[in-house]
Amino acid sequence: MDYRSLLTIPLAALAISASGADKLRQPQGWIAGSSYVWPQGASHEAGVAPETEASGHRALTVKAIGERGMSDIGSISQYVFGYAGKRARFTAQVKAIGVDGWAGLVIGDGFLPLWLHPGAREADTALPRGAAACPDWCEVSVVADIPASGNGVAQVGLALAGNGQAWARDLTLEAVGPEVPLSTGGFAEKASEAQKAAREKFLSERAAKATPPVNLLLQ
Amino acid sequence: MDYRILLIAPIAAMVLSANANPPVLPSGWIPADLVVPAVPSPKAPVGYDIGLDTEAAGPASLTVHSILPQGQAYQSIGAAHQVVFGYAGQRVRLSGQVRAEGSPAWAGLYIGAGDVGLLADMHFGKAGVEDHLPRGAAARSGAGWQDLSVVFDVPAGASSIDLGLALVGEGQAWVRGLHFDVVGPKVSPTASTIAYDWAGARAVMEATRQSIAKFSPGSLQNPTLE
Repeated sequence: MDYRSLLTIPLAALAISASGADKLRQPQGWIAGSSYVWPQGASHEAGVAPETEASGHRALTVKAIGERGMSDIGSISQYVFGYAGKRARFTAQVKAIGVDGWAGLVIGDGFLPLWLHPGAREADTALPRGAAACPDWCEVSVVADIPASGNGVAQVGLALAGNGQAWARDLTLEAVGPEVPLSTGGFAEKASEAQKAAREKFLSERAAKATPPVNLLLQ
Repeated sequence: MDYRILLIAPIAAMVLSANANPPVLPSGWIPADLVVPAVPSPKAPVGYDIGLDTEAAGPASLTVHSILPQGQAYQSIGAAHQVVFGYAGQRVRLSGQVRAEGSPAWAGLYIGAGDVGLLADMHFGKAGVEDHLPRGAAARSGAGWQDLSVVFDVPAGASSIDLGLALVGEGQAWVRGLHFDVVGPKVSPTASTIAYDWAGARAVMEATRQSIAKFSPGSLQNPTLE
């Protein structure tokens, strides 16, 4: 069996599902996505920063659409295979303006999109790790161990929680040795706390009152 | 493998795929299209038509119909379902008339403790799923409309249950005349579960994980953002 084929479907679906945040040009190989706030729609948009297209020094960008809450997240990222049991370093020049939540580079593992991580229903491991951006261009690196017990898929990208806009350029990824220290920073920790608290509140309120199934008459 | 994304993928496929004449799903109902296609596709496939059967005579019926040849690596599931809150510690019953045609591995009504991902967890053989498999009442294929009930003791700590009509494998199933109620201790709970080879699915997932983990470290795609 060619197990790679089993990956085709979810990855294709991911590319489709990310289309809510695609007003900016989507560079090949990168997947943009964001929280969805009903009824307004996507909370962020992500892609190539238009002002960098002509310069030959293109940058990824993620920017908030309208006024956002701390738990709204946008990201643009890609999956890279083959890092099971390895330490990965993702480096870029990054910049962020008007950020009231969190913005920066992120390394996660597995296929869950970055923007969904903080609200994931299951307890996560130490990943994803993050390296926050600066108010003006600065080079930052995020270093993380990809678990040997997993599938070795690393997800790397730029993420923004809350308001503002972030950029990243000159992106590099490499496997590094154990002498390179791990990043200690997390990723959108306030957003994670807010989303988990909101979910607990929602479940608690719903559980307190019986709500039978609806439309059993199939109308 | 992080199975959570595999839950999202089929939902996205249902919402975004271009099916020329998709059946209408009644309000309040959620589709679950967890198909394993015979031929892997770069696009998210639609494996089941899920919605109202507008061609059948008589009362309105909800149907799940496999429309794509299925692979045998592990089993496919299609369902029309709902998540219901607030019945922790109670015994509940879902009843209806169910009909099945073709050769499904299983078709019928089900209830289980969990959320919208309950069937997906089973589909991917997620760790621990064998401890809370949905209870199910199966219909016999080709036997016409059958009165079925599934009775479930909702665990005291369960904030929600998932219930509906499910079809494992190929074929078609219908349900009509649905009822949901809380029942007393004189009504026996259903002992049978949805017949699904969760262990086989788990083995495939593990083999997949191991295969992927052996890949050589890849490099960043398109770092210049062409």
